[in-house]
Amino acid sequence: MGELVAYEAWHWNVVWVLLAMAIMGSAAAVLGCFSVWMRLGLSADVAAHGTLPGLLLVVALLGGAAPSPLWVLLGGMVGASLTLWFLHWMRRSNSGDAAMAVALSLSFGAGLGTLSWMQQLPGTMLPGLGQLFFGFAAGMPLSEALWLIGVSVVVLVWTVLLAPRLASVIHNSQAAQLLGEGAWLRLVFFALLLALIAMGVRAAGVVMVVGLVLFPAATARCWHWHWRAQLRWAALIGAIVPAVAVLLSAAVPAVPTGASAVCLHALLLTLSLTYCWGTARSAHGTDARRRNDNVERLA
Amino acid sequence: MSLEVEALDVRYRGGVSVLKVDALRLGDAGMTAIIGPNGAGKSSLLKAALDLAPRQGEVRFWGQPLADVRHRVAYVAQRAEVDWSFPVTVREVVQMGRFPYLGWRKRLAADDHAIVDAAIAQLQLDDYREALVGELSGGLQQRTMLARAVAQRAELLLLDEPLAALDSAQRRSVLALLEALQADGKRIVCVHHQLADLEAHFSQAVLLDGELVAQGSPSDVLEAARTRGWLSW
Repeated sequence: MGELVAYEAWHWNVVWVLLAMAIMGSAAAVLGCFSVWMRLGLSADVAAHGTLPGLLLVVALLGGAAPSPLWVLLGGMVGASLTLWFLHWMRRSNSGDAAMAVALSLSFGAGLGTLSWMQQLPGTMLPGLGQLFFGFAAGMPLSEALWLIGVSVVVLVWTVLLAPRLASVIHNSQAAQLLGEGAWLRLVFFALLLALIAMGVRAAGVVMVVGLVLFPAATARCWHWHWRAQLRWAALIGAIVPAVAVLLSAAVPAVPTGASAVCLHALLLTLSLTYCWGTARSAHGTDARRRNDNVERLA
Repeated sequence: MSLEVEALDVRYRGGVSVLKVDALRLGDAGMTAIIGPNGAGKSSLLKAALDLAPRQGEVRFWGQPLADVRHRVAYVAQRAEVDWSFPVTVREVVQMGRFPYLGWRKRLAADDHAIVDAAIAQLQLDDYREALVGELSGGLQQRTMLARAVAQRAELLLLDEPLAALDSAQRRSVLALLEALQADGKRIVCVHHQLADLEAHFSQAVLLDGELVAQGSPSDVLEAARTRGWLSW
């Protein structure tokens, strides 16, 4: 009887976690498309690394106790925001890639150093290094899964609502700025991105969460030439892959969720690139064919 | 007067002044060209007027601050400043011109669709409405940006080098469309590099070189440039 109860609890928890990861993956994918179009892919990576010192700061403030999802969200967002601010500050006097490298190594080093120090303190409830870096969604408690679903739904809905404005800013930022869009929109976009990354770190890991953001965007480019269609493809891919990764992780607990999701994404991207290359459907192939159509029309 | 500038001082990071203008009035005639050598502050004038560049001084459109008349002013940026790689269609770009009139979700009503269709037809883009704008020729891309301005129902069009990197046929086509827009009642202010067609297409010109050097009819302004030996740019 006891075994049956334990099995059912595991079963329902996996269902909730699976749902949470699917919605989170979908929201991450949609944000990822805009990140790629706005050329913010590496900034998202920097932000993800910056969540670790923020989370550890929260644990320290709580005296070593395990943080609630709200604290995880706040700590992660503060850490990521500070890292992005540092990146922005570095860019004023350095090239973009140098600033990016410095911000990445700083956030990674600060996070790793603080983690090593805190793990030696008595009474500190920290997950293992592997779980923090590579994620372990299957072991996520129900309350955390519900928080992840809530934050992901909010992020997804807001991003979809803002999509036309974001498209306008990406295509022609100065004309958009003239009409009052621009700075505030970028701020809201970053807030959504940081919130999702902060909440997704526990499930997918500090190092891997950015893969859930960027991989679907890259794969979706193989399947359609139009931005709205790419968003739909990315959302679909983003939902399916992490869900499969959760099942893998639940079946084989040694497999971390984030790492398996990223490997599955990489496999799907490789297959997509191969298929698109073979059928001339890739972004370049499609462009070339459509450009020829346009040239014919002009002639 | 569409655009009035007083005590304008444009300084980018580093603090060096790139343009100082005591007083300038633009846009009372149909088409005005802003000319001058590279680095003269031509683009900076437009950007500073539109709050896209840091500035000091007073800028007014029809006697009002920009914030009150944003929808009446359209800006067509230099081609290099537009992200042509973003996979968006001609129709969607033109629809963006309706954004100032739309609600929070930016959903177009039937009237907006009709205005967008009319703008596409006016700029002769019917065959390309569903084409990706990034894959079109430079001339068609400029026409798309002008169609967006037309869909916006802007009265004043500020264009930053709209003829740059276009071949002669495309240049003639865009100039003809600009003249048609001007005949339609639009006021056009345009940063321009081809001095050969200045007198043929523009009714006013402004010569800049870090400051206002001359303003008036194209022939007078060209004469001022010739006097200073600046016609080599």
